[in-house]
Amino acid sequence: MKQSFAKLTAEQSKPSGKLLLRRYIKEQTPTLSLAVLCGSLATILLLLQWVSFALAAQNIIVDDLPWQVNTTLILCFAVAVIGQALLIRMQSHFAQQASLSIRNAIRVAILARWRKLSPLDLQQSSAGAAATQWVEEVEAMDGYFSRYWPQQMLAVISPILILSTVAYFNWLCAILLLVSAPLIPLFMILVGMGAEKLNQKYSTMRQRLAGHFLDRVANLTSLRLLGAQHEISEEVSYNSERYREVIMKTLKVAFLSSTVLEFFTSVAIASLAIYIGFSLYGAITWGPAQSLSLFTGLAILILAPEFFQPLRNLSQYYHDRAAALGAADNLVTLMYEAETNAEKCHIKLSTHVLKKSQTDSGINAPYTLNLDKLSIGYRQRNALQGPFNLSINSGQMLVISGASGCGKSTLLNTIAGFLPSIEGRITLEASLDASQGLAQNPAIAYLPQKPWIKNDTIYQNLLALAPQTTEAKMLQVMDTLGLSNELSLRDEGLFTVIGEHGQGLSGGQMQRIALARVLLNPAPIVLLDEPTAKLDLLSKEYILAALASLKPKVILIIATHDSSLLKLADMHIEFKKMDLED
Amino acid sequence: MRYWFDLLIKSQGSRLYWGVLWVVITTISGVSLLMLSGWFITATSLAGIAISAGIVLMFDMYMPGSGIRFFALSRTVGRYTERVYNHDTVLRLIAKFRVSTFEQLTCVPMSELRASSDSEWLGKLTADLDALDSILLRYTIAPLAAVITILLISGFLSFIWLELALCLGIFFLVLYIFNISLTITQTKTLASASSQMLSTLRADIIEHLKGAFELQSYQLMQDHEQPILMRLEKLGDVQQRFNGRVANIQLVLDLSLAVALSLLIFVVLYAVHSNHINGPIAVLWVMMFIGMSEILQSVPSQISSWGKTDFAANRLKEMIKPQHSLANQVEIKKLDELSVHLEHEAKIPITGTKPLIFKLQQSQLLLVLGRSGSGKSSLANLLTGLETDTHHGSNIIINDAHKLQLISSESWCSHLGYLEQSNSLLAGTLAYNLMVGLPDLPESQLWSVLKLVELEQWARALPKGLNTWLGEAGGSVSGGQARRICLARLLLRAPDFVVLDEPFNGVDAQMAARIWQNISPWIASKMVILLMHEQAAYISDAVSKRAVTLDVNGSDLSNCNSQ
Repeated sequence: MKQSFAKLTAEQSKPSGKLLLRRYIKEQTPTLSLAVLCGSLATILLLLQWVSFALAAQNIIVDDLPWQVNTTLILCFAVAVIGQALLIRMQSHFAQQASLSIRNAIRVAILARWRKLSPLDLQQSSAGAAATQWVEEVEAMDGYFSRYWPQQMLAVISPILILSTVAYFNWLCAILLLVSAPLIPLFMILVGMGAEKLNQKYSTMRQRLAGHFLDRVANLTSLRLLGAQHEISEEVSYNSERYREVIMKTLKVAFLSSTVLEFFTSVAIASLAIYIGFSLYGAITWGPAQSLSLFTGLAILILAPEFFQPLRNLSQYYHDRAAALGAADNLVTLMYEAETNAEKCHIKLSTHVLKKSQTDSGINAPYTLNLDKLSIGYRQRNALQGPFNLSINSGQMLVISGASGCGKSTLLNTIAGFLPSIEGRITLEASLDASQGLAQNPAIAYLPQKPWIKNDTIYQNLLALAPQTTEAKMLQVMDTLGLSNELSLRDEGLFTVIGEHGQGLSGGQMQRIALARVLLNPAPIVLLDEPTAKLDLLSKEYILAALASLKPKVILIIATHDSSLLKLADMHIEFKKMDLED
Repeated sequence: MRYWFDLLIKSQGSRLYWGVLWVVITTISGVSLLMLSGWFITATSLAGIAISAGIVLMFDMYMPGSGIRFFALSRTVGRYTERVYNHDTVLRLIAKFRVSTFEQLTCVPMSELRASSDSEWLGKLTADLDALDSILLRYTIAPLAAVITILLISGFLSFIWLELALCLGIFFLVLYIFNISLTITQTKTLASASSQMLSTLRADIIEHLKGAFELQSYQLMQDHEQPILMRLEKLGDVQQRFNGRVANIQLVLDLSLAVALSLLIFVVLYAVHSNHINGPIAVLWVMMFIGMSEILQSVPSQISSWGKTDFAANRLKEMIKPQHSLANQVEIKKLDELSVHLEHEAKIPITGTKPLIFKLQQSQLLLVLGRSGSGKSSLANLLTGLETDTHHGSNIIINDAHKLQLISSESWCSHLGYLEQSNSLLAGTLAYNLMVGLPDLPESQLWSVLKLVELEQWARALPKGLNTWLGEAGGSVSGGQARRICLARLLLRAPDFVVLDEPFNGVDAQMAARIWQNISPWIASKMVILLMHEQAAYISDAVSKRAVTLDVNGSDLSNCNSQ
């Protein structure tokens, strides 16, 4: 009940992609505002620049004034032009600075989120897809933060500044500009909608054609085995051709939208030129035409394209916006939705002196794991197993066996805190001494069926989960597990690279390296999922010996079928398949 | 990148000319629109003043007016045509790149192709191919068009004032080319480094996530983030430096243009003042400069992606290049005998203790048993030529004459039918999947093989029968069905040597027995190796007795020398 309520409120407070972006931008607003300020100042200098020129032109060409008057004007022009270049430089500096900070913040947030999500949830999407999100999608947001966002502001500020100047010179020209400005986005949107419809029509064909090349490359080995490579090569050529045809149909319509922009811009400039020309000639006498001079006319003419420039820039950066919003939507899914196994329930650590709880050997155990009325499972109403009660002390081993799918891994995941229990609770009691060095959330050693081996040296692989250990201890443990001889530890020793790109390891060797980490850094609770399944005899022997030596120090819980492990066990639970109702 | 440029020119040669032409038309229209407009209003203002001063003057208003309208139109039309045409060329180019990539991959030795099914590898391939499209638009068409525009405009202006035209023409050309080479040299390394770091970070993140179970339970996940964060910081540095350089190059460009424009204004206005040229022409010069600088100003941002494209092009080349060149390749016409001797193979543990030796001839079936990890699939790969790395003591001899490694893969594959352990259904229809690599077959043949694998009923029930697209709605396929389709695919062919790796994975025992019965006639005449993880009832006793097992702790270690 509580869980579903929590889910409901979470849904309601889930922001849209746009809102999420805005939240991240908030921190960098000062820097981004500086960028916008630089851009605005640049526009003011632009106005200064061309007004000076127009005035100088008027002075020389029409009024034929002496030269000296104009040196100042030309100097003014030069300073304004140079100043603009410098301001643009500063604008990019601030914008890029902000973008970098925002992207870093997003990446740190994603890492933190992954840290909090249960690994079972992380498994839902492939690691590759998650990496794409963290690396490529966040990179793709760069354009939005450094270019589109400042331009959004400037696309309002600059035209207003320019429009006011033009209006000051001639209100009719200002009206012309004012009218054309909103028309452009309007038509672009209309055309965009048409392109979208066309897009939908060809969507299936496009997907098939787009995926064709990759599908064939992925299956290239099979194709060559079938002797089909030439046939497929022609197919790739043919399909790429058809893909081109389909895409061009939609592009022809989509490009019309940018053409609209160009069209209106060109028409506006042309109309202004003709209007100003005819006014200066004297052919137009109504309205403000009379007040036009070469100075004002030239200024307006040159400023007109600059009026449209921000809008043109904005449309260029529009793709950046689309990319960022798409990435932001994915981000929202990750940050606010991905929890099915919400609230990782760590084992609650209760510290009080154990009261006379004796283990078999009669010594007070430092830890005791208590499972009270525990029911486990993945769905609320379908308990896979349970309820059961269990207490296990350090130095004891619990073996869980049963057919696959019965809940062995589920129990391990629940104890590790990756899956909430359906009912009941799990607590860890620690004796006063033991709880001294223990964090609120105690460490647990969890070895899944397929061990995690990094593409790195053995040293790094061991260090990752045993950060306090030393080289000497590592060598010792490797020896204990019989790995010193098997891996060419003589050559580079611990610095042999293993993993996909290094020395290939057999299943048994990988398991033993995984176990080495536990031996180097024993946690109070050790969970093992089928540690000896599918292993060669030699590996099994080493692992058994290692577990036997580990057992006295920890609470050992193993899911397995192996009879030799069963012999070591103090407790044994057998899970039988329960009939699940759907 | 040289290779891709050459491919571009060879395949799209004539389209390149037209593409450049359209861009030139667009840019010249743009510059002309500005020039003419400026000239026009200056001329009309002078004319207007003269007329109001009483001087009689003939001034044709309408020609320039039409000219302005014309250029406005031609610029718009030119822009649209240019975009459509050039994107069409890009798509053709992508098609050519893909075909070229594919053909290169078909020449890579089979043993090096393992990576091609890996999704990370495929992702890199796609990203790299995508990055190549800037080669056309940014690095070929745009620069060519810019240079031609500069020459044409300077040419036109030299009729008006030769010295100034030459000066400006040379200035623009030099500035343009200098800026391009400056951008490339200054940003190439940083851009490559950035791409490389992103690639490494990607691998880091995948590894980080794969370790989530272990790291989170140990409460060490945050610690494991530290190296990633450090690498991220380094990336930030590199990117900052890169952006800084591009911005500085832009600044240098802008300043050069700024100073040049100021000088130009000074020169032309002074020339008007000293009656060398008239007012309208002076304004024409200035407007021309404004139009031209628009073309030049985009260089840094456009060309700065060169490093990234270079990285992608090099990485792509590495991915599709064969690591080892193939030795003299033999072709074989017929397959009579296969002789295998494997010892000390790392992936087949049992050969460490005792060599695996057997001979196989036509109409013989060898059963190989082995649990997972025993090296079954490695054995299959060695026999089919997908892996060639063997111990120096091992060899696989064909027809008592040739080593398998020396036979050309095309020739070997034509005699081989290999059912791999993982299904390889292609995106396509059922009929397509069955007939891939074969000339057209009559439908009756397809139906008969489907019957052999007990898929006939299922196939008849599909929405479009044999022409149903597999994998999409209505044509979804279970694991067992996919397996059987792959098996059916083999049954349509007549190889001399057949290797079946777990052919009945995902199929229940009774169906497996029936299908085995059905295909026995087809199998009978061939040289067959059957790999399974455990004995099955439907395999005849005679075969089972002679089976080879790869299990290290299995009961029997029988070497087989079948006659």
